[in-house]
Amino acid sequence: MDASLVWHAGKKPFIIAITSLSIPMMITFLTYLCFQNQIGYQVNSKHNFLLFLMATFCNSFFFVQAEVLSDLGLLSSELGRLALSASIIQDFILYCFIPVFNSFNQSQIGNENVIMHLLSFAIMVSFIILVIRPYAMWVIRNTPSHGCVRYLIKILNN
Amino acid sequence: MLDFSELHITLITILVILMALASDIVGALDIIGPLFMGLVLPSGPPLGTALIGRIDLVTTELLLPISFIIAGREMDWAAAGQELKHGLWVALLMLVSNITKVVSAAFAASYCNFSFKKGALLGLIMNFKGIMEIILLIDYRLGRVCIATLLLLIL
Repeated sequence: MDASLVWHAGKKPFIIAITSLSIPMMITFLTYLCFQNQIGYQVNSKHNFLLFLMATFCNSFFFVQAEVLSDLGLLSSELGRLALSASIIQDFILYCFIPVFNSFNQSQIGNENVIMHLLSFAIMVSFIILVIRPYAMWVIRNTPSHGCVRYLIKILNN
Repeated sequence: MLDFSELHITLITILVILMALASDIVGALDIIGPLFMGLVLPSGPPLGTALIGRIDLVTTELLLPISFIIAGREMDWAAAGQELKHGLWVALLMLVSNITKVVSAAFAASYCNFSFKKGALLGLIMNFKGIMEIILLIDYRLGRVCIATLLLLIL
């Protein structure tokens, strides 16, 4: 998955992604508030899980979309590409909310846990960005590139 | 093809598993570490293709069926029968979210100069559920409450 696709997606997928994420979230939350008293105590109190569940239902994940669309042979069609770029944008919105959700989940145990969780999460993410990405770049740079592609380009140039 | 040395491919594969362990220790869901790592690694021909060629067979043929088996083992049909009422409320919420998603995607697409029918199709495409939802629902450790949803998702 290429992260820079988000910025090159254009305006249309952005509009579709934002509306098809925010409006279902709002309406589902309103329905939840309306029926809050009638939904059983057991479901309501169990780790506040209905909130997480609604976020899961209203988001469409990029990996799932890509897999299903490639199975159906719709990857290169107009609608397929639109759905893919919209779901990438929705995914990125969800990734921004992951620390919030996690710390909300941790705060059910105790408030001190939230700070520890956020600190260690930041350390993990910065380790991934600062150590693993340069390592992968180094691996790519240090491998000899005498593959088929280079050979083809040579033939085409001649 | 490009020949990456065996050492680096193995090291990256081990790092993925270690990241899953690290994010579980940190307190997040255990898919988040490998997910961020996949975002950070450069995609495309040189490294990505070599990794896919190495890992793809094991993950799709061995690990994916195992995760489906685990999802099936979590389902408890007897408990689902007892708590049918709670499950129906969850199913109602799910139905509302899916229908509003189709409708809002249709309206947004008609705003972007698509026909309304194409927009509704787009909304249906955006509603595809797959392995990610199953993994998330198992990770939430809902136990018996969410059986009906898990069942609906798998169906």
